[in-house]
Amino acid sequence: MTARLSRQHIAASLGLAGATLGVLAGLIQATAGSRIPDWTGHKGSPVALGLLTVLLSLAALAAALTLRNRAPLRPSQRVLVAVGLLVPAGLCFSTVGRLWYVPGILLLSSLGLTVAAGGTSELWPVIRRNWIRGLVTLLGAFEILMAVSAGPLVTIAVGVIGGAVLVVTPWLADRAKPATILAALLIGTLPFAALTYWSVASPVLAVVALTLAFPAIRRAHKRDPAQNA
Amino acid sequence: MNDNRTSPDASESPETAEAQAVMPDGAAAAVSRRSVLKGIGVGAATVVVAGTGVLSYRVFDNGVLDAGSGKPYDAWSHWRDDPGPLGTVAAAILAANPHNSQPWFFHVTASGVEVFADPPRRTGTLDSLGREQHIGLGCAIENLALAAAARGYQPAITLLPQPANPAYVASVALTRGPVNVSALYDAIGSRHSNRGPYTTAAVPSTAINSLGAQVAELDGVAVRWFTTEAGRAAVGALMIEAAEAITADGQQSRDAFAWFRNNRDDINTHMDGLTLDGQGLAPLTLSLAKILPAESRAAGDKFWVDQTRTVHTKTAAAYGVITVADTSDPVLRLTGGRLLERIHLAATVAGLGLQHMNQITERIDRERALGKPATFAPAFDALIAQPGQLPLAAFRIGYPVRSARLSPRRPLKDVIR
Repeated sequence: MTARLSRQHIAASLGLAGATLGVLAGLIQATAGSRIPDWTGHKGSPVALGLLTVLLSLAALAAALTLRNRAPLRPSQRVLVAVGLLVPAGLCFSTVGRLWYVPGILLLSSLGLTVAAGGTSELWPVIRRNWIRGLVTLLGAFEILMAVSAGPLVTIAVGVIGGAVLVVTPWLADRAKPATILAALLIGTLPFAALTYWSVASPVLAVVALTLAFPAIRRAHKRDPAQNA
Repeated sequence: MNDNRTSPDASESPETAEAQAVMPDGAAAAVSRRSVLKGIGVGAATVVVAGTGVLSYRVFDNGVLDAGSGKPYDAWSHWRDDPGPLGTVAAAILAANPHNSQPWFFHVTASGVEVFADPPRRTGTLDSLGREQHIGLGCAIENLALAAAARGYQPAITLLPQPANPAYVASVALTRGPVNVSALYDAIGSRHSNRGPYTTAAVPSTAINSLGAQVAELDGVAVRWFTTEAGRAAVGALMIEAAEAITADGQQSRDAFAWFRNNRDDINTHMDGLTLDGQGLAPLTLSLAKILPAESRAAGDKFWVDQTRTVHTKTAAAYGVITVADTSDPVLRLTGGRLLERIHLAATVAGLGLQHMNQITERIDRERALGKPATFAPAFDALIAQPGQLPLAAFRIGYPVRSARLSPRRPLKDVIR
């Protein structure tokens, strides 16, 4: 086994441990968060935040499982896995309080080893190529973060669904018709912004997401119009 | 030029060779410019997304999208649940009280409820002589009595049942009686201090009289109303002056700031105090206030004085002042508190907004506690102009522009000992 693959597998083990503990932390927040507020961060919506933590930890788990591959991952796969570890590791420090300290550190360690499990220079072209799409995806994650702290239930649902649509849409841009992508972007941003217009942040997020996404999608279609026929 | 570059013969021509030598550099320069511009664009986009992330996090962390829900606000939706004596306490803790300090605890038995003052929950130099704490306890006793009647109990209230124990402020014996679900009881869950603007609509005299009628069966307390433009202007001016004096008094300013909960974490931790949600701000302004960094004490003081000047006094349709013969008498303070709560509940039933405005009486007691020459006491007495009657607590009323929001409350388990 090469040193590169060895680092990748250690990263997998750390990631699996972190993600499993993360799922556990989310379940504790959702079921007992209000009874142990000093540990869970005195959150106002422990159930919603617990469930979000579980979902994000499952995403991290999927990323960690990918690292168990018998062959070294390709640069694009490593970037994807790194993002899958980074987003849960970062966001969940604000969802379950102290319960995230151990899972968060494990996931960040896994992230570090994932990046180190190969040349970092080979990651840059992948990152550069997908940077704007990544930013739009990040905005989708922000929308989900706002939504889980919202109320009533319909607002939460609209925000979570809209955010999820915003997360995936940029990556489907060169596989679907422009009208479909446009519709997805509008669905991902406008309903939540309209429902929570007074929050300032959600309308700003909608404007930023649409401003970034439209040119990126136009470019994707110009690159390969045949694919979109 | 492009044609030359692609022509198979072009390489033979010296001009073309020169052109070839130039073109790659020009193209490189163009690419470089494009790269730089693209880099700037991507960098700017990244910064904007990062900024949006900060905004989103503040929205998430400060509960901008879900104000008034969660554990600190549960008491407002569960106060009718328990049909027994515990339920009367659930209603009592929703009462008006100074700076939402909730200065009480309760002892529940099978035959009644004992009400105690919680001395550490005094508001310091804002309540130098303990007047406001007694008023708040009186408000809680009134809610407790209304809730008892609604649960088929006949409440027998004894104020200060053990004079040697001043913290034991009331004993409420509960015996079985007729069920009386009054309009005031029904309003307990909707009663909130409304610190927002009121409309220009005048409050009809019939409504004022109806509020004043709440004094029935309460001995030793009265209400003085200020409904004329001149009367309101005089009271308003004194309110502004008192607010400025409190902010100029370092200790009073610090004591007020100590009860302000600037973010959702503080609200979740303490479940008491004043909040941004309770300031009667317009939705957009409220969101911005929550998203921006917390205000300093000085900025908060300035905000309060400005609000007092431009909103609270400017839009007050009328002022009411509870008066008693002796403001240092705990029984009169408690009874005054009961009247204040009744008036607030009756105002809620009538669709009126009400805001408690304590600054003048807080300065009166502060000056007295420090042994300073009295300035606010004679000024307020002169406005009240009722010999033998002293101001205990003041408030403004009017038709509110927007609904008041919930204030956080500690759960029952934290106030029952």
